[in-house]
Amino acid sequence: MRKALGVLLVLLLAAPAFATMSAARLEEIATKDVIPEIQMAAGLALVDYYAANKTETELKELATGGATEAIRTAATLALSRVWIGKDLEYRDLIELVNDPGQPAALRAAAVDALLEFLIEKKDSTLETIYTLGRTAEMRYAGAKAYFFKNRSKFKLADLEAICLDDTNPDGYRKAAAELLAGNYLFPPTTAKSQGELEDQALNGKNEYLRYAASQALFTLVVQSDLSEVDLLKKVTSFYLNEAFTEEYKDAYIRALAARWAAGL
Amino acid sequence: MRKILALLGVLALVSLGALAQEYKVVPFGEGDWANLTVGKYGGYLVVGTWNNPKTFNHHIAQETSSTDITSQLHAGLTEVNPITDKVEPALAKSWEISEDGLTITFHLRQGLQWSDGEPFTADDVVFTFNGVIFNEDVRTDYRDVLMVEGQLPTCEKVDDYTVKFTLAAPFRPFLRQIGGAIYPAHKLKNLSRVYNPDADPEALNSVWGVDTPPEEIVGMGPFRLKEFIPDQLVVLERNPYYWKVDPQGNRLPYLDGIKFVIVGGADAEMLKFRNGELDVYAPRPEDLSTLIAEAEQKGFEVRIDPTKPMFGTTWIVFNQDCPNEKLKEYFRMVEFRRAMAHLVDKQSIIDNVYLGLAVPQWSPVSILSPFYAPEVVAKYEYDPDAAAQLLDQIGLVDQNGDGWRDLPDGTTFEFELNTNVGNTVREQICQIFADDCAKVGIKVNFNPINFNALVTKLLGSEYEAVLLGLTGSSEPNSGANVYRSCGGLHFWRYSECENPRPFQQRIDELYDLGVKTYDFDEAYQYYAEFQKLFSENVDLIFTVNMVFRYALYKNLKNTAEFSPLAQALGFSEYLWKENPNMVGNRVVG
Repeated sequence: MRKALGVLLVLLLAAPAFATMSAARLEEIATKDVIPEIQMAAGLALVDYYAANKTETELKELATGGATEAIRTAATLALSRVWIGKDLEYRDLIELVNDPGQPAALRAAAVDALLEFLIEKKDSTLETIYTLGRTAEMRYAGAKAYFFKNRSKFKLADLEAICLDDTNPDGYRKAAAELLAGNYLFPPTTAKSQGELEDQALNGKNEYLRYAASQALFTLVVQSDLSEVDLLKKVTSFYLNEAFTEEYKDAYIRALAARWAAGL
Repeated sequence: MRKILALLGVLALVSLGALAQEYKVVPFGEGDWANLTVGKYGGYLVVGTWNNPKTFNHHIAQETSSTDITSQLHAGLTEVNPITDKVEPALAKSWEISEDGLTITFHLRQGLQWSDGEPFTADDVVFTFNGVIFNEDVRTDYRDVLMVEGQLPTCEKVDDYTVKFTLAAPFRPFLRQIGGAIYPAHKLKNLSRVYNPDADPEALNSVWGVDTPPEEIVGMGPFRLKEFIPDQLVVLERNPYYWKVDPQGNRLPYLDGIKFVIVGGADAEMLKFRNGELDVYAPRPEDLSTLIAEAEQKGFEVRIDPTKPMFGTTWIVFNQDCPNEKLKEYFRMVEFRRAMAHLVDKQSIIDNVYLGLAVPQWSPVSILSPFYAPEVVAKYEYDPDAAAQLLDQIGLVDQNGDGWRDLPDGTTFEFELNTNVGNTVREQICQIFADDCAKVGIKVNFNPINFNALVTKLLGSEYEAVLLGLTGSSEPNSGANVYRSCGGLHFWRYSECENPRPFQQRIDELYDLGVKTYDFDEAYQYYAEFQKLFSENVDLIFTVNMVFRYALYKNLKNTAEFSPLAQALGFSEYLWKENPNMVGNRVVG
């Protein structure tokens, strides 16, 4: 009954949005919809709009104090977009990302801007960062730069092994999973099918393998002919349904967000 | 009422002005241009480049870090359609060829203006050829591709809008080759000793260096130089006098300009593209999985066409004029070069470096050229045993049992192999080659260096071995500056300009014969013989050729026809942005 009510409410909020989807309507959904997954899809659909229309100060406020997780995520991603290419100083970025006292959302937003500096660093420096960084974001940034620089050295099997090895640092495994996602899509001779990716996003051995599959699955779902309505139904079905993993849900949530964002 | 009359007067004047100018109308939506649409104005195309330009003087530039920029500043009498690869009218609206094929008369568009507003006339064309291109003071490779039977054409003015070229012999690709940049007489004539005996002989070589004030650099291209900040940025802005219009009469280009962001290397360029700081990117094989995984999320697309190898070539060259006399002796032996060719494991390079997205290259002629003759080219397949045998034959053997082959005096035979640092694809190929050389006892000291430094070494004959690439085209004669013995880019043996080897003499002849006939089949035979001779003598050891691939943000329009021929910059005047305020996927203004 609760599930049915959720579906009904979502349709009440989201259905009118099809006709006149706007940033305001997306914000309303991201803030008020009863289904968190729908909220998140609306939030993610707002990223480009926020990056283009909010000031840095506004984004910082929303990233740290937005009404819902969806709004905070949207603002964090938009802030990340704004900070790229803004000529921020390396030292400032390091101090932000590596400081546990800073809000996690701001640390996360600075990772991509920091990457432009980190890819110039030696592998040994990056190894130190992803192993000993003081925050999860710093360790992730170091690992992301390391894999970016060395991506041709790692084959699919190497990356899966890294994801499975519990002794590896968290950020290192997450960055490996992101590189692995690309390997699931290219080259075509070894690419996984949508079915295989769905299965792995649901039943992968750990969250990193599921995350890799989810990242790749998102691409295939967006490229599929699933309509906005199909995706809305799918995401709605996630509500309070424990049969789905977070990673599996994320692929469809992002796909719905992409459809909504395209209509803005 | 006076105001209305004044306005009408202005409109009439503008209208008459427009009628007086013989624009080239690009028929978007029709014929060859069917997939291109009328666009809207605004925005900058932002592209990455690895190195600073060395010069803004197009006819002197020999490296893409310069010519990618200068080619946007200039136009020629003719141009190559980026979709069809066919020659089309450009600054010349039409031409006539005499029955004997020796006289070509060009009729210029009237009413055109240079990027500084000065009028364009036949004087500019005559100055460009007689005062710059044919002027021996000027170190330009352009002369090499206009030569037939060792002679250059003559160029004369017929009237203000007509010029006549007279050739020593029929010249099949003349219309394609005559499309080089026309220079402004009003800015440069005084620097040419053809017109000013007191001019410094170096003046036309040093003019338009990278420290030149932008307004001094004047052209007929779609863009003009606005700003150069070394190690950071080159900014081009729309040439307000450009001479092409779309079918609705809108003057091209649509873009406000092009920004070349100097990024320093492929990794930085790739990251900037992913971050939405660049609009386009030519991915390396290792980039593709990452980009394909992110494309939908970030709003770009990745195009791959396995059926279309790129026009250029990648090769390993040994300096036959090497300052190290001992090395030179071996580098001049064809057996040595063939042994080295046997050590290029093309399949391993294709599989491991290009992830299958490349094809073996054996010929100096681009695979997409109609003159490509794969049936005759010599193929020294990967065969370390054959390489070892050849090395034994020429006396390069391991004398002291340390695993490395030695020179007759007992010292280790070793050479330095350079490529441009940051080009990870080339670095990987070099590493594979060096490893395979080591298997047969050849010691390779691999040392990647800065691109511009590498070009200086290459053109100054100060290297031992280099892996690098050349641009290409469908017309073999475009490579005359490379493959003729006196060509400006004959960098493996500049010394043979004076005394070419017999096969090289024949190649020089074949280059003459190939341009003198209008019979395609006959020309094909000449270029086939050229390919056979060149591949047998392996002055360049070709590696592999990647297929067409390109990544671009969806905000960029009129990209449907991107191809190996033109990629993005070949379409620069037709490109437009759905949202002019966006670069990549980011709103910037």
